[in-house]
Amino acid sequence: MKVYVFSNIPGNVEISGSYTLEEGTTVIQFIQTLGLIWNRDALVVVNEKMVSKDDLLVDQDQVYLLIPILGG
Amino acid sequence: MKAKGSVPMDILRINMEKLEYRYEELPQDKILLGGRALTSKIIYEEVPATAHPLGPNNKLVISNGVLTGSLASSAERTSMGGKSPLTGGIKESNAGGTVGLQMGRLGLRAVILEGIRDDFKIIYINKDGIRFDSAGELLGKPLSEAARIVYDKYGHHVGFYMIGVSGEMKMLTAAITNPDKDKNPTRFYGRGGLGAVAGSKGIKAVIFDDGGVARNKPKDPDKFREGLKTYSLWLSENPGTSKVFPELGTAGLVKTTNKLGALPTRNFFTGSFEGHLAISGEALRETILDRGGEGATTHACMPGCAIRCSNIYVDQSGKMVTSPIEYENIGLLGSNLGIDDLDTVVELNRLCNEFGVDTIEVGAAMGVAMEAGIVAFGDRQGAIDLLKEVGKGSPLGRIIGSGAVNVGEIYGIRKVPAVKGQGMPAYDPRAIKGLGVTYATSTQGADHTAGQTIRAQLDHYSPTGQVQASKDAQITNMIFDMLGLCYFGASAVAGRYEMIAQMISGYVGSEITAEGIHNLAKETLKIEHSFNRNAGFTKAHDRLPEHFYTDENPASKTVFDVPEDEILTIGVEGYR
Repeated sequence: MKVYVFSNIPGNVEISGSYTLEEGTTVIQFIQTLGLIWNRDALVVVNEKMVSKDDLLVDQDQVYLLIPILGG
Repeated sequence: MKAKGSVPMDILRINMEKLEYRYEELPQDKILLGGRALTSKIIYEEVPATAHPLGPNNKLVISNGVLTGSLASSAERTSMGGKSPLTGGIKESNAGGTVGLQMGRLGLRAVILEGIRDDFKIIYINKDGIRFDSAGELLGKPLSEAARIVYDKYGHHVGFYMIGVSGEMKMLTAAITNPDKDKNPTRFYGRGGLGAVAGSKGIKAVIFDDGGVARNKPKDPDKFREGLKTYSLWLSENPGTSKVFPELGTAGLVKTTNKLGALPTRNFFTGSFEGHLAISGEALRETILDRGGEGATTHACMPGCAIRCSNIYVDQSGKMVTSPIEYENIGLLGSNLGIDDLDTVVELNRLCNEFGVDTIEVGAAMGVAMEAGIVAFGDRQGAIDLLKEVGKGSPLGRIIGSGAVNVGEIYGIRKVPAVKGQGMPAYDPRAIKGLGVTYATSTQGADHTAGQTIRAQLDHYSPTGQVQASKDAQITNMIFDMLGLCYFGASAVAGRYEMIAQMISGYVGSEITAEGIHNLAKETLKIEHSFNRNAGFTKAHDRLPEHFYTDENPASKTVFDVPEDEILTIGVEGYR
């Protein structure tokens, strides 16, 4: 299956793009393959919804990696 | 006054009615209290909860964080406290900048300002004592001009707190400022109208001259340095504090909140703004880089800050306009007003800085004014002209300067984004529901810095788990507020308080544990709620405005639906 990543996080913009994954891949497994630490390096939104680490990704999912900071 | 150069342990008490002062030793039970913990403790003990905020029984308390002056990165914040004229409850507002360092070098943990007067004074404090000067030549001037006069008269090495024309007029949006490390007077204690409290006491400025005074030194240097080393390492290793903040500043959040449907747009009608790319952190950075000159995409407001989230915005010719441009200002003065032009947002921000008003409250007030049709959403020049009325003190300006709730009441607008009288910061509570819980239950009114939950990887649209998230965040924010730490370091530090405890113990020379820090934070929340109960707050005040429960946010397709009985467990009547 194929998923699409969109990232505007400084230092990780270049990981935007399409990825081919095995069926049954969880969100946290995929995030770790990107070299990111779960619940630290990105807020992860899949198809407009905040997700949990054990949620399964499915074909054509759009994975948004949002900047994980506090406002000021 | 004691010998300077040691850890600040004195309280300076000034009576503005009598123009008298005295130094007091910090009592033993307050040695480990700083920032919000100390301001709230003093207000709780010394101010009747029923006092008029602008009357003789209210006090304005300035307190350094426990670590302020230690020169640990991002640890120079100072708190202001008092009874708020905007909310009617206890208030703490804190800021970075430089004056806390100077106050600390003069041996002061806190300054308590009492009494009221009709004329305005400058309080000048140095190692030899205090004097009260007339403030006549500063009155009525933009803050940048008033700051130049202060530097010319008192020397370029001094630090100061100062109010603008809004504080002179005792507007409910009036803030208090202090300079950044480049001497720009743009670091504001913005929330809750504490500038009006200073104005009611006849305080135009408090100047700290630390000439001839040594820097503060830890009581146990080895212990302090050991903790500091780990703390600095964590800040440098965390991507948020080492990469994101230095590159985009807090404005990097615009795309995040827009995606989540939480970016306030047109008086919080919706949470996604079609023009958000033009006012995003990325656009801000590109504009500053393109224009060059005095511009800076990264900048430290405090000496030695490793996070460097600030920036300096410039005009087409590369000349500085103002600093910093932050996420909240973009959200409230940009998307909330339907404005998709950075130069306009920055001009609105600059005007707020010159008048000394809270950008969040004024942005919320202008959004309500636009809802009332005074100026159309998206009308750039109309917004600038409307804000200029605040500086003039015209009747319309005073209405805007009285905050969002008053604008709504005067113009018959019921959809006012405010809780306990205070305007919401730039997060729609229907899309970030944990923050909605914080808005509803905080002792401070609607305030993201009282319990920020957006950073958590949880389903922000779900009503489940939000009360616990807010409760935890309110403790975390309190810890940062009482220590003088910038909470932008929270992504690197939060929850790892053993090392912070070691830094405190080494700096102050009095032992504390991580559990002790946590307990101090909880205790401070309890006394703040207690003050508010005594001031007349009940569970009826722990609610969002009605329309957030009934009107769907079109961007997130959600209403605020966290169960009220659960929310009330951490509110004014329920917090234990």
